Amino acid sequence: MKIRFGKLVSRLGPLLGLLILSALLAALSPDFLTVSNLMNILNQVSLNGLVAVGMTFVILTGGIDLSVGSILALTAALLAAMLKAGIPDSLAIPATILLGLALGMASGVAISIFRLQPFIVTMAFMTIYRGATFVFTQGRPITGLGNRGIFAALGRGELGGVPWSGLVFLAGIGITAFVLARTVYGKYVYAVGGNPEAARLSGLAVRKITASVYAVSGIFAALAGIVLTSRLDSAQPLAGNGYELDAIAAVVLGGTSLSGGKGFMLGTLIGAFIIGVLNNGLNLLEVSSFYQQIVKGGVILLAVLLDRRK
Amino acid sequence: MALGLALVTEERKVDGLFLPFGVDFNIGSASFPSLATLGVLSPGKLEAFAGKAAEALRVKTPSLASPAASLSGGNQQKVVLARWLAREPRVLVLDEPTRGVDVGAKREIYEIIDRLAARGVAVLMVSSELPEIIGMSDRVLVMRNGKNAGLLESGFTQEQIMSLATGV
Repeated sequence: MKIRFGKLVSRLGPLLGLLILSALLAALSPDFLTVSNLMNILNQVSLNGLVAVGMTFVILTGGIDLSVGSILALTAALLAAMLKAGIPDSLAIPATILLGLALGMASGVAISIFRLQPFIVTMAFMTIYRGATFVFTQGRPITGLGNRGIFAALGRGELGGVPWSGLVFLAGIGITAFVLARTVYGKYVYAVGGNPEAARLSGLAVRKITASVYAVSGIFAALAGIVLTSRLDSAQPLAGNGYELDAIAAVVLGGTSLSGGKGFMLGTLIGAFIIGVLNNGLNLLEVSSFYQQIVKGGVILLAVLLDRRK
Repeated sequence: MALGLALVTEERKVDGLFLPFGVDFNIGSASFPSLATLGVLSPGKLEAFAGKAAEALRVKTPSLASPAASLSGGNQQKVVLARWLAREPRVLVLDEPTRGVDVGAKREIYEIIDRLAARGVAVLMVSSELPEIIGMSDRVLVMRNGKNAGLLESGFTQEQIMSLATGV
């Protein structure tokens, strides 16, 4: 009974934090709790949220992926180039997602086959992919992509007042939450993060599973790249810079343990919203962006400390 | 594993169990694909599978969702055994199966091993406890410094084993 209660608190803790934060902001700013502002938050959250979904898989195995921001930029640049070359978006978008998968997989293979530290490997790929983006774009943004159907909708469109980017993010959360909780692959991700040696002795293909989570992370970084490119109607060579840290923060704020094996996708949903609401609220309260960073860092520290006390 | 070989390691807490995860996860960890349709686990199946396996070995746990870490040493060992027995191995390798296990659970584990052997499962037990070796074994291979020091067939005594093990 005691264990159950503890589990409940650890699952509800992040949600409680989000609710308290929201209540506080609603009290401080009359603009906070309006439909248009909430949709705005959903739109803002979706970028970091998509990256954080992929990051959750990686962190659940006890790894880390620092290359997501650069994968986002490189896939965005290639998508923009494809669209400019006249390739239809129905082809360019799936190609971009596959590319994200391949770029993420490269880290995964290096980590699992050569048994290297995820931190160092993904940091190296972060630099490599950022450099490749600069080479490919000549350091200039790729603009003038045209107003095409699916592509334009992903970053700018709405469905019944709800931004498409937000719907993509929520769908991503829903699908991956199901995968983690109810599929063999999901159990394997937890097993590898919980105890890699026991997983190996249970007959699991630990290396393949480890490699695969970086591919998943690459896919979601590419999805965020597509949304961002659509939103800006251009691909920027510096896009996604620093996104890895916000994504990691969202995952950790959602209660997922950096040591692996413990955490839930719904926690990441809440974690992403905590960061989004915080950013939005501080903007509404006209707090300077310099102070915003200090507050954000402080909140992350506080969340980790609270998690520790349990 | 595909050949019907199963290994229960010496350090169950280090490389056997997923300590923070539920008993059901620990029992099912080597059998997930057989509990799923197209990769999707049906919610009741794992529970039924783990429940049956836990009952067969009389694992004492508050619930199937309780973390393995909360169980006693003997019940933890039974969870690891249950994981492998559910796969019906033909050869079972046990490395110090009763280390850190209380007396009552020890006897239960011996009974389980006897039942398996009677069913035709080849059990290879690694142990450093003499009474356990003498009580359980059909044949004993004594190792000294990682080398084969001698094979004893039935009717072995504590003295015989000790003299081979020490080389005196």
